[in-house]
Amino acid sequence: MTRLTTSPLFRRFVAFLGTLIVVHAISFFLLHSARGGPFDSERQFSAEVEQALLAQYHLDEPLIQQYFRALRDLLFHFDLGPSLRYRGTSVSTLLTQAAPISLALGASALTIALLLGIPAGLWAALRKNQWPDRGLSILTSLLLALPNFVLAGLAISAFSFAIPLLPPAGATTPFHFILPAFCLGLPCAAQLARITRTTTLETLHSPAVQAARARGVHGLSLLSRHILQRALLPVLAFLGPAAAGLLTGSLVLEQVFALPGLGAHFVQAALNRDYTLALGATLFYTAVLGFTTLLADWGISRLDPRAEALS
Amino acid sequence: MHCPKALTRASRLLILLSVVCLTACAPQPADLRISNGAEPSILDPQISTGLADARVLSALFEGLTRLDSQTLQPIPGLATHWTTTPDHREWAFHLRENAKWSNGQSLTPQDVIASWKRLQNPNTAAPYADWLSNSTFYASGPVIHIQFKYANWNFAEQCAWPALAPIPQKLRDGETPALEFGQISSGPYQLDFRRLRDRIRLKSNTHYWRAKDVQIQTIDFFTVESNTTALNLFLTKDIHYTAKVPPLAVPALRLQHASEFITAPQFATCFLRFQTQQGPLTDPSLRKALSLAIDREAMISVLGAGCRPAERFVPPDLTDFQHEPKRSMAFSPNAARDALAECTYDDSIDGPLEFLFPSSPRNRILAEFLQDQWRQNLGLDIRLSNQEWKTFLTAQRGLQYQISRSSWVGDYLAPETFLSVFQSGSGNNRTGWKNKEYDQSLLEAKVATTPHARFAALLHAEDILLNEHVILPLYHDESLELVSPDLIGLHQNLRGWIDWSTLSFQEKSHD
Repeated sequence: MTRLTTSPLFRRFVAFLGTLIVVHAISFFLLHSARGGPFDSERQFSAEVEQALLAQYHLDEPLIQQYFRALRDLLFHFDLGPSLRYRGTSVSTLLTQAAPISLALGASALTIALLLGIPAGLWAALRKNQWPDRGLSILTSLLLALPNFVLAGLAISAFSFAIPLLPPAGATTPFHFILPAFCLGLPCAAQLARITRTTTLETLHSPAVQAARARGVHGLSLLSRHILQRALLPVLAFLGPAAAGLLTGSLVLEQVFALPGLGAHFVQAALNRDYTLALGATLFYTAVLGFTTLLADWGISRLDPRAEALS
Repeated sequence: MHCPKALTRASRLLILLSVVCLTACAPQPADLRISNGAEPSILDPQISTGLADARVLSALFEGLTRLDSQTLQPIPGLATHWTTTPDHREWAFHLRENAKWSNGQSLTPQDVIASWKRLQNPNTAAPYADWLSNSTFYASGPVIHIQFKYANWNFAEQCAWPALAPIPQKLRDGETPALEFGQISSGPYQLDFRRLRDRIRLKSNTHYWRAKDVQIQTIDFFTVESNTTALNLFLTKDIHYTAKVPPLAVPALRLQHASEFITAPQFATCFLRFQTQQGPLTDPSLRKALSLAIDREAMISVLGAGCRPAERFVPPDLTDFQHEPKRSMAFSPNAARDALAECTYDDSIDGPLEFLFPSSPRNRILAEFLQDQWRQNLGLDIRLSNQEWKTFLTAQRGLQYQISRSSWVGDYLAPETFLSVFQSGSGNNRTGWKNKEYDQSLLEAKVATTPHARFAALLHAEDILLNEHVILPLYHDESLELVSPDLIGLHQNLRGWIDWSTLSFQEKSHD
């Protein structure tokens, strides 16, 4: 028991739970401090109906009482409550229906980012100041500067209309995810390529790599055992939060491609004053962020013997 | 650790995760596919509001009447026929004998009575509960009787709206999970499945009383929040119908898709509210000056498609409700300047007026146009202020504005659905304006025994509202729709009403 409670993993887990409770409290009070309520609309309900609605969702209680009710339901029943916008549907149902879509899209985008970004960054570093390096610099600047709705518009024009290969929107078949996955993954690939290029260049001139070269290590062996291992440390540190962002969706891309993922909930729930859904989505994002950061730290500790916090 | 191996493993894992998630969600497309805008909040006809909800609900839950989608006149639904007294206070609906729920159980008059009682119950929190206020109803044999305190001229039309449709006992008793609402239905379709924010799949109801006339077996109502996405889906033939397209695309659609692009007047008005309780706009002359200084024709050309100029509050499409062409709100810069000269307001002393509007690109264009008109025609500099929707609504409800953008959509084809908004004490008034003569005219319309007397009272009420310049009507909405040429029976009308049971596909010719 003592070994468990003193292990770094356990301490990380406890800190993570604490973070969740703090995020829950801050989000709860921030959301409730915004003007307007979930049932406000152009057509106002009668006072009687409005009162019945507020009572139904306990919104007529003092705020602090509402907070402790929400905290108790979360901690003891794992219940995020009912959505106020999608009436009759629980927040858990909404999140579990949307999560597979966002996870699929995010995982595809992450795959694209990893498969394109890291090799491209390596190639540019190994061909410094030659045309691959300069070409990549222009391309990554372009991808990072273009807003994703412009990228999505260009992709739809090209691959749904000019060359009608892929559907322009929807979430019916795996083909529907190709364009949004590229639109979500390419800017991340561009960032990865830039980080990989910079860290590879630094690693190439490091004493360890110079020593390996002096020992006669060359080619793929030098790249995989000596360069990549060091160059990928900052990439992994970047990947933790980046993966959380990709896996929890994007409002704009979900709207453009009509995908029922999580991204819309983060923004729309707050705009609709759907307190419970906004809170649930925030906690979900925090949990994913915590998990991916933990995973990235674990990866770093495996690559770098000096970072043994979790080993 | 060997890095390329680790990367390969991670990539494999990610690809596997993507494939598993994607293959878990691949239903076959339905026969008819439409873009339905925002996701309906709940498929409970008594709780839902909004056109997107009503489109789905009207396919699931039939009322005692239906609407003819060409004329919008009530036609038999679950009731074979109905009668009303000359004063339109009492109505009797004869429920058809073969009315059934989609599970085969009989739909009885008691179902109708119990549903209406649920609608009236404040705990249901039904937005249309007031449709049955001041009424008593009961069933006698197959006949449902309802008696109102005042005349209700439009009750047969209201009965076609999902709010007054009977709902099954399990839904009434709260035993049905929200995502399964509609699995037991009374209309031409029943719920097959619902994937939140993706689609609502309906399948034909074999127990529907006109089941043999229903030709389309399955319908997908897609949630598509972006009008541009809806347009893309239509152009790639992924959907057969969309009720909205981006106004910017209209010129191109008129040229290249003339046979598919349709526009139709809607029973809705966009207008400005003036806050009349305190501040400079308590002066009717200043409100008049601001009202007469707007060139609506120029405004329409700036806003593009989807609107027609409005000089009255009630849209001009009701044949029985035709006002004399006084054009009291017509653009008249000279009259506007005269009115401004009459008032005590001086912007250099009292400060500039502020126009509050909800944040959106179209509202921004409108606000800048109005600001320009007031500057050009009156020499007034109006400050623009935009707010996020819910914040805006709170400000409007609390009268924390001077001029604000507003809109109203009629619930049924009668002037009352618009004019009751500005009754004293109405929660929708939001101007601080109260007028006893206006309230009296609305009451006279309620107790009127002839259509002529009713409409005369309502016209008088609208004249009071406009002559006092409480509001500034800007435009009446128009729908911008795309309909596949293969789809037959989808007619355009003022309320965007679709009779799903009469739709069919054109048979392909075999040359």
